Amino acid sequence: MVNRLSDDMGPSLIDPQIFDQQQLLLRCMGNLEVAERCLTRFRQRLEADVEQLQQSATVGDTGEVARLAHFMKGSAATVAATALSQKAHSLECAARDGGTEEIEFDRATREFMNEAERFIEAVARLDENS
Amino acid sequence: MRVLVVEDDWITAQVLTNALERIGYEVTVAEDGDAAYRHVRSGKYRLVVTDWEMPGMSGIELCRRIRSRRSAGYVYIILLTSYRGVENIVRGLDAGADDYLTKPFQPEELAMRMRVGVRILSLESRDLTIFALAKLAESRDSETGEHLERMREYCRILADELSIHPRYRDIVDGEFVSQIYLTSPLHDIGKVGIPDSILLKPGKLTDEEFGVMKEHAVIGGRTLESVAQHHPEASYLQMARDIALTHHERVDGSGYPYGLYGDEIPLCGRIAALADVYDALTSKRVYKAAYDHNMAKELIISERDKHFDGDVVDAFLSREEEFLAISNRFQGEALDAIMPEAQLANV
Repeated sequence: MVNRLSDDMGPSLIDPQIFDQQQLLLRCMGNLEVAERCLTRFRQRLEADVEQLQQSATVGDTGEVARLAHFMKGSAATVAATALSQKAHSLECAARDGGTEEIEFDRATREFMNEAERFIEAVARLDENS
Repeated sequence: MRVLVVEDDWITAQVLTNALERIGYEVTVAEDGDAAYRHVRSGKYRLVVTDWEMPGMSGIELCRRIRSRRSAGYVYIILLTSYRGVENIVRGLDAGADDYLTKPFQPEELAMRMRVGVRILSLESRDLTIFALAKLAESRDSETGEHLERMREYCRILADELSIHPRYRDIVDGEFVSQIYLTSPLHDIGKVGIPDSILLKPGKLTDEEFGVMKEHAVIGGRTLESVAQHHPEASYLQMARDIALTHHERVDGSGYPYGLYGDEIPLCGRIAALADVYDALTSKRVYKAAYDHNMAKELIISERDKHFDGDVVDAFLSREEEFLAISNRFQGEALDAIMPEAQLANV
């Protein structure tokens, strides 16, 4: 397993709003192995769900978008990806309205996608530095 | 202690499991409400931490199903939710959850809320143990039926009524009501020290035998007193002692074991005295038929300020319909319990 995370409490290379690794470690009660495992699984799941979400949004399946966004909201919060969790929450709300406010739904979808990309890039930087 | 985590999100389940195991719990994960319900039905789990929104049976539905089934012991449920706001919390609690935790959880908060759950469950274990002990003591006298179940209900009603009486408002609070419900079944525990030849004698007791019989109040009182001395923090033991010792005292001083007058008898003892007598009167015994409610009521009224405290009699009169309902309910349940045998006998 790649040791991207560290229990060193020094300044992080990543904006903690994108991913707060110390927060994740605290939540895992200092267990690096569990934190690593969760981070790996989350990134894999995120990549798959972003694709799925994009397809569902394109065909206007707001129910599926809401379900995926809700799932992402919880997982992202757990791994301390705060900004992503917030964007997922906004998208979930817009999708639950049935996407009736099309501009709002599109904006929420776009912002979630951007934030997901930022998160994936940030974790990739951690991989490079490990 | 075992904990059932119900969570369809693998990541949250992992983090929860890790935290709970580090705190010292043994964790099983169920990925949906149906699987969780099967685990709960196994009887192995008394603590459940469940997600709110899951495919299939939701956490709310799981709470409702757990609460709607009869189980050997209480299941403490913590609802894990990313929903915030009072309305959602109320919805969760209304469905039967005991507590809630908002995602993302902090391990310290999780540990604290789990401790509350364990404490609640241990209180239930304590209550069941006390009642089991009382039933064991009562089991030698097979005739009393569900006397303890009825008596504690009568005590609870009387205490509840007195809690709004100006004279008792400062003494009788919710804790008093809970404690009398908990401890009144121990009132006759001293009977374990009475020989079978006297306790189970079918005919009338001689004066000497009755003297021995009366000792049950002191035996029970002293036994509970010795336990109470070792655990002064457990105030319910003091109430249990007072009830065991004084439930045969009469406010006119003609009772036993000490012939105490009026307020010298602890309030819990005065309450238990009326509850005990009402149940004895309205229950069938080998030596007498069951009195109906009105006959029992007239007798109790006639003993006002003699056997019984006048305020306790007033409390009884204010809530007599509930006494009657409990008396009828337990008789109904007893009939239900013997019906299958009766039906078999008819085949």
